[in-house]
Amino acid sequence: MRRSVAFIAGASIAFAAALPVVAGDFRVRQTDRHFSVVEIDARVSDEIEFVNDDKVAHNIFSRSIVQPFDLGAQRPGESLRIRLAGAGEMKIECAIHPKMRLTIRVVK
Amino acid sequence: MTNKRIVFALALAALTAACAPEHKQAAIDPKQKEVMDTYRRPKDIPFDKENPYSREKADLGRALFFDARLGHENAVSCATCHVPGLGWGDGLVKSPATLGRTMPRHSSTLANLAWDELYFWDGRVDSLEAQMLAAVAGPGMNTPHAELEKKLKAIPGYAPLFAKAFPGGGEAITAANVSKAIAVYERTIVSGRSPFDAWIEGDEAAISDDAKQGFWVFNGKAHCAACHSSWRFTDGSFHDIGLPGEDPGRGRALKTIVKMQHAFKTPSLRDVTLSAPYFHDGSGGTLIDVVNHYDKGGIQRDSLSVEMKALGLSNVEKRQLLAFLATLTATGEPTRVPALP
Repeated sequence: MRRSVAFIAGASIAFAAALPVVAGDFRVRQTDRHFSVVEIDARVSDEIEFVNDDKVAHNIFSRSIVQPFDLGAQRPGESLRIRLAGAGEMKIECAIHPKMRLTIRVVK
Repeated sequence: MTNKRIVFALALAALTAACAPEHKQAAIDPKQKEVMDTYRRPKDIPFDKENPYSREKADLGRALFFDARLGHENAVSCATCHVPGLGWGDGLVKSPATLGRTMPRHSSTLANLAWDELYFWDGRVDSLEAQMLAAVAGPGMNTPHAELEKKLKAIPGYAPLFAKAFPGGGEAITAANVSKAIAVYERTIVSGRSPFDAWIEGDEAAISDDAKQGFWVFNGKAHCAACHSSWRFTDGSFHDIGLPGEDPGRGRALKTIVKMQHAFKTPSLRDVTLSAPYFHDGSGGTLIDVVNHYDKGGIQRDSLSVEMKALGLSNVEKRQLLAFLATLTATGEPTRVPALP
């Protein structure tokens, strides 16, 4: 089951921030230079899909020890995915827009 | 630290309300109105909850900011390279540093930094407090923190100012408190109202037709608003804009991320007519040089921002862009330099 964590309006971001999402695969949207959610509780092997619904490019990456990655430049309209490989906490950022931050807590 | 900010109301509202013009309204397309509304000024400054605003801290920070005794041989202040009348830059390609050295990058504006996330052209620190501590000990001012404290303790007039700004007993004259006071002051440095603001608020006579056309070129064909967005005319983002040079910029901290090589922080465009020269290396002598650089699209390389592309601007569009940028220059009272203790 794909659990969408996209909140269509930017005004919903604060609400999303207060409610960690649990279980399943996840879709994270990028709108108005924000992630649609700031916390995700997930399991190893879950898939995270990053959808750029913005008008500008993003560059999602993580320096986390558990699974460092760099998705590179992501143009508006593009969708990129990662499969969670290990348990632990991952800080996800946009290299271009440092205000964009997301924490994924991964359990086995 | 910056994630823990709170919004703290200041007298910006007064700046906004007191200057409200008699509006000459005109019908505006709803989609255009939506774009224009993204440029409305905020009413509050976001301060750091771990270093909240107080009048005493801001006043102390202002004195410290302009006091050349903080720097090497009592001859360099923050304001040496960040001059209010020069858009908080210094008008030089690269500032002279201490001991005969030259600063590696152009002096950037200090206006509207309370809304930023990372500081310095390369984003190497995440708070204005950390920025100040690095700057005072760096090549520009060359004052180690222990020496800074010693210098300030030797100036009798500072002791009561520190005591008021940092009540509660204990030693108040510390490098950490210097950084907190200056950071609070720097967060109060907000670009003043300009003709552009009056236009955004409905005064159609506030700017010329050329400037209005330039605003739409800025938001459309010229693609400037991809990075120079919001009332600050920056989204705090990092880009390689295709200038020559070996400086890795943000890439020094993010070595493995291709798009961060030669990437630098997008500066605010408020008061941009005052802050020549331009770019992180000061290589843009005038605003038309800057416009021509973006028109060409920059050096093609893997790290070049995907927002960069050859624009094909006409001379008329370039002229309109310059007319628009000129409307971002504040018209209010200049910043006062304080009497020093």
